Amino acid sequence: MDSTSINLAPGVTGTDMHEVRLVGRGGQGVVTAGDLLGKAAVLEGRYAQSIPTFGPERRGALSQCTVRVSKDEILLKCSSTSPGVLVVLDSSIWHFAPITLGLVPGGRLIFNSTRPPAEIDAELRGGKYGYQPGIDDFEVLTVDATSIAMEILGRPITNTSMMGAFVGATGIISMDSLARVLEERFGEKAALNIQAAKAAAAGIRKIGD
Amino acid sequence: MTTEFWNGNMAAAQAVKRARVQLIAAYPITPQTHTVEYLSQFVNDGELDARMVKVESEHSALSACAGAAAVGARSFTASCSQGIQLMSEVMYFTSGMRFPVVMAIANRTLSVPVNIWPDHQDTLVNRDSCWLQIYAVSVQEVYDLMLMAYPIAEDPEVNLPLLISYDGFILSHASEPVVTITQEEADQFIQPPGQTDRAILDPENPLQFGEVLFPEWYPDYEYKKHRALADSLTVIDRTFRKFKEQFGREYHVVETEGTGDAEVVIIGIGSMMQTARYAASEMRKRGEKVGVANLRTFRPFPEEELVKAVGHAKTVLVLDRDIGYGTSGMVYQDVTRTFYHQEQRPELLNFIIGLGGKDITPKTIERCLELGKPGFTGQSVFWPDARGPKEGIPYSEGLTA
Repeated sequence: MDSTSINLAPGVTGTDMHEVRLVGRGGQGVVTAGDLLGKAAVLEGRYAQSIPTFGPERRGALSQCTVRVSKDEILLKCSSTSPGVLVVLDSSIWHFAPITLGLVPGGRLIFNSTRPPAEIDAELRGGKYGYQPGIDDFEVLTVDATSIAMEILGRPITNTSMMGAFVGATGIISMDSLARVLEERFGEKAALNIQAAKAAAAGIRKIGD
Repeated sequence: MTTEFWNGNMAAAQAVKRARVQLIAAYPITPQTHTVEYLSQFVNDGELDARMVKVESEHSALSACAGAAAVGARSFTASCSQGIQLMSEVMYFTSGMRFPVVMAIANRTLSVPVNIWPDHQDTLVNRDSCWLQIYAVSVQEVYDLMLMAYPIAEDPEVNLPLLISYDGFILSHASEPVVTITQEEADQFIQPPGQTDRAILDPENPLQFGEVLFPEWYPDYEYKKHRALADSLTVIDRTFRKFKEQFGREYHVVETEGTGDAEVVIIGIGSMMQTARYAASEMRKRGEKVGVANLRTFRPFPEEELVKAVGHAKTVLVLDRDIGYGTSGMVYQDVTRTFYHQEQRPELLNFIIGLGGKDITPKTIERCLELGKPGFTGQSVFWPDARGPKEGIPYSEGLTA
């Protein structure tokens, strides 16, 4: 997918900075995904930052990572307060944490889910899990990253697929840059991960699809 | 020179490698552990010719580093939180024997309640151990300051241990672009280890360290230690200038932004000062004259530079990511002492924020500015993060009779 054809996701209001919140469970590769997305942006000559937040627990607990991308140095040293993009790697963890906190108007939410995006959209707007986005202007997208990962990688590790979906849905970095950092990080295993990323970018479902 | 995307712990480890450290001893503790894991990988891969010493506690880790320094070797350890408290006894020995050991601290609060997230309680309570304390505000700074650590600590005018602090998680685990230097460049900047004129243990020339000193001479020894720490500001400044000449990146003991015409100046240490810069620039867009003065060194405490930085500002807001229980924040205590005898004494207000990793966002800083607007009205210490007596009103304290 050519990133120039994508309608760019919104940045932090009044700045050229993009703020992305990655949400998943420990062990799903949230921290690695944040690190690699930041690295890809740096490859493109931009400034980036990836700040993970997790607790002393290990696998299975809530794990989040803030990624910021800007043309200039980023001064903020805190977790995301105004994300324009949410990438949710796990299909159930978001029931337990107010993941939409601070979401900016026009925000894009990409869920790893087999469900139609309209269902998740209705649940979020209805406050089914005890919190609401606080704004009306946002778009829910879904991609079945777990099936893609199982089919291509043979393991339910969805971070590389979800990074692909992020590229496909936001245009904040290019698929070429993502492929380059995956090659650097995963060596021989990169080819399948790049295949998974591209499959996920192509498999995004919008409301009404 | 390349640009890498490293986290703070990696930046610290890479700089330690460039300093050709000869002995590393540490005990794991979150969020520092990576630093020593990376170093042990470098040693295993033959990238760093150093001895990794396995120890059973932080007390032993620093003891091993001090022992190495006693024979003239360059040694390194890393820790935080309870780990530093367990080291504390040896910290005093190390500075007392004038050993230039360097330690990386990924700041983490003290237990209990148990909490793995950052504040500056762990390093600030060791304020009087006679170690130099330098605080980084970005991952690039972790790298650069660690490169400058040995030249400062080992300078014949200093010969004191030094710690480089960077906030746990928010810098230790966060990745940012880092402009790196080559080993050749590092070797020009950092004198190779082992070439020291300081007194060391040598069987050919027997000496004793850490002797008993009777009251007759004790104050003289202490005064020299005290002066060496205070005067290390000159060496730090010289090292910052040399670093700029060679690598182009500029450092000051007090880093200022917008203080020239500021009516309000925000003072503090650590990564929150970058967020404060962001918040201050947003406030300036709305016409509020806010400046920021980041204290890069807490020990030595840069009094003169601080007074200059504050200039004619009417109000100074001191942000403390720590609490001197029963009184105020610990940075505030030094700031008030600094200004007490100044002819122009600004109003000094204190804000206790970010304890135990409570996120410090631009909103946190704006709230401090808002609370500081009326100036001193009998209350000098504010706790905006804690749930106050009423919604929207934080706990605040003045002097009590």
